[in-house]
Amino acid sequence: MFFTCRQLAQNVDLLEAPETPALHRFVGRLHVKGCRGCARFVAQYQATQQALSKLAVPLSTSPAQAAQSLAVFRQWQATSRAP
Amino acid sequence: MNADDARLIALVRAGDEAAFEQVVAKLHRPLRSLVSRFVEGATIDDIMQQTWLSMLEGLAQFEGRSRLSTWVLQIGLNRARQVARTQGTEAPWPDDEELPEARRFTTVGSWLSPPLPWRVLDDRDPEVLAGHREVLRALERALPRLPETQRVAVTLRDVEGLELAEVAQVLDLTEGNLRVVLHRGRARLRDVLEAEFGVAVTSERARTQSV
Repeated sequence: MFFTCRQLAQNVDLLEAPETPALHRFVGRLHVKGCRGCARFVAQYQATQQALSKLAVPLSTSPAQAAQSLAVFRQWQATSRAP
Repeated sequence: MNADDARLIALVRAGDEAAFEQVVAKLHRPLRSLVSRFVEGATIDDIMQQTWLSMLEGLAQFEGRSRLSTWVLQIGLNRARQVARTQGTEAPWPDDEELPEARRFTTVGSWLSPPLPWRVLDDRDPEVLAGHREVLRALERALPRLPETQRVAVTLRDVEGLELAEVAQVLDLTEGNLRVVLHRGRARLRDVLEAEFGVAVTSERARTQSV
């Protein structure tokens, strides 16, 4: 699973996954330790994931948006109760 | 469907405004985040409102085979996809069969063109990159260009932190297939960051030698 650089790059998500057998994880860590290209790829891949998690800015509803969604609710209620 | 969903749905069906507000508060963020990867500006708000209305109109038929959040995200996603197609927004990158990094290896699987170092990343401290404004802006620009499935997967899993199982349900994929899609999306984004922030190896050598 982690013997060649290609295998390591393509299975990078499994490198520290709990479902990965301990022996495979060991081989993977050893590979990364001794391979500059893979060490860099793993660091960059993980950094990309971490940066993505920082895009989640707090998107709470603004008063205008809350009012809009309530208007939708009231309109639905009025329509669904109409004879 | 869990007990909390069942309780909320029953209350909303009975016309409880506060319960509806709870649903909106809970789902507003992931829904808006998802829709905003397909359309821009006021269209985002339009789709949000259309999604709430479709949810309310569909509540009577909702059988609870998925979570309420999964169902609402699917409604929003379908609507956003339709609108994006009619608006002719910038075409996503093609969904290649080949993994983004595939061409970078020799036939025996060693690096042919190893990753370039990035001027914004200290390999020993990935956290430094994560908070970098230029990087976040580059990712904001690149995310909407990912092929649709990758875009949704990365947005819901990596940006919004939803569970793998829920993202798989929204996209109607097995978890195994979702893992492949996620890898393709993340690897493509890593490529984008490399193109933008990669430092040519010669200059890296020169820098190392000059220190």
